[in-house]
Amino acid sequence: MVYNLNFQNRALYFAVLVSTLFLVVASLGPGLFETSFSLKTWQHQVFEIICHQDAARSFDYNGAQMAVCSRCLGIYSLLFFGWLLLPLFGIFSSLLNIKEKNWLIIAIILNLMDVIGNYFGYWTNSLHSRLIMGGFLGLAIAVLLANEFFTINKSE
Amino acid sequence: MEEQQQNPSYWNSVIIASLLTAIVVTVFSLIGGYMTLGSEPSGSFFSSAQLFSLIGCLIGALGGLYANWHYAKAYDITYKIGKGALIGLLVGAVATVFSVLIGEIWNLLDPGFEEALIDWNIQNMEAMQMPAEAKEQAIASLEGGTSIFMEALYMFIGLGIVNVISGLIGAKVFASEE
Repeated sequence: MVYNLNFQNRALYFAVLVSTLFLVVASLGPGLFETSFSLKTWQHQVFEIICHQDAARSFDYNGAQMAVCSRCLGIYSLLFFGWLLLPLFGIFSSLLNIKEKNWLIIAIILNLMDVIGNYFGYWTNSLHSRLIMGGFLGLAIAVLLANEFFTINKSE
Repeated sequence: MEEQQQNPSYWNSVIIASLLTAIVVTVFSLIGGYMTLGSEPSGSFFSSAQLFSLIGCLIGALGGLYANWHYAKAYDITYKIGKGALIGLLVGAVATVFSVLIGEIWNLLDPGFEEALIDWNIQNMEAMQMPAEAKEQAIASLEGGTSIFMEALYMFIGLGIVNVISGLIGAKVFASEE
């Protein structure tokens, strides 16, 4: 039995790779390039409408507030790393018949539970716990999309 | 005719999703803004008003997902993931246009809103415990305006990319041939 790795939708794969890299670089905020306390940098403006950018829920980098909250940072970072590992996920997905949608559903439910539990005071989440939860969601998105780009062909 | 049946237009879904995205995001951000103005600048980074923008930001990322769901269900079709990404990108672009338009209309209805919000944030900054240099820089950044074109461009970059990703998810979940 011979296994071949198929790589389809190549242009889309690389477009998403570059876009997610951009998201990660921009989400680190102005501290990546300079020491700045400005709250109206291009990085902050790019994410203004898609992240609450609450300072108490965001990491600082080089003295400057990052452009997104810790959960969003986790989503974008792990989506990017997951996208780099997409061939690997594609192989596992094809060989093990993984139900990718379930991973996404679990990641969404975990994040919702984290938000709701924290809101009603059952527990207090932290910058790091939100980063990890967001990262799990980013990774689950990559796993979900893996076999649209990478599949295994079996031949005799 | 046959081509139309196999490949129906997605613009209906794009426009509905864009309009929903733009309205929800703008309305939540306006409600958050007015709640902020109704409170005292205490020097705190977080206010309950920001909870509204927290919900609004979630919706902003889901336009591509909703458009793909609407398109796939309306015509009961399956299609390739690239089309889902394109639909997401278009939602990002059209939602940007709608958001800017709604924002401009609101500026006509309440011309002092943005100025009042900037003043509130400056007072809030002044009440914060942080180094003087950092405070000055943060206040200066709030005072410096951005042109409407640049605002729209930044908004499109953010909304465009996240809606491409949510469009990919939407196409995979709702329109995949599997």
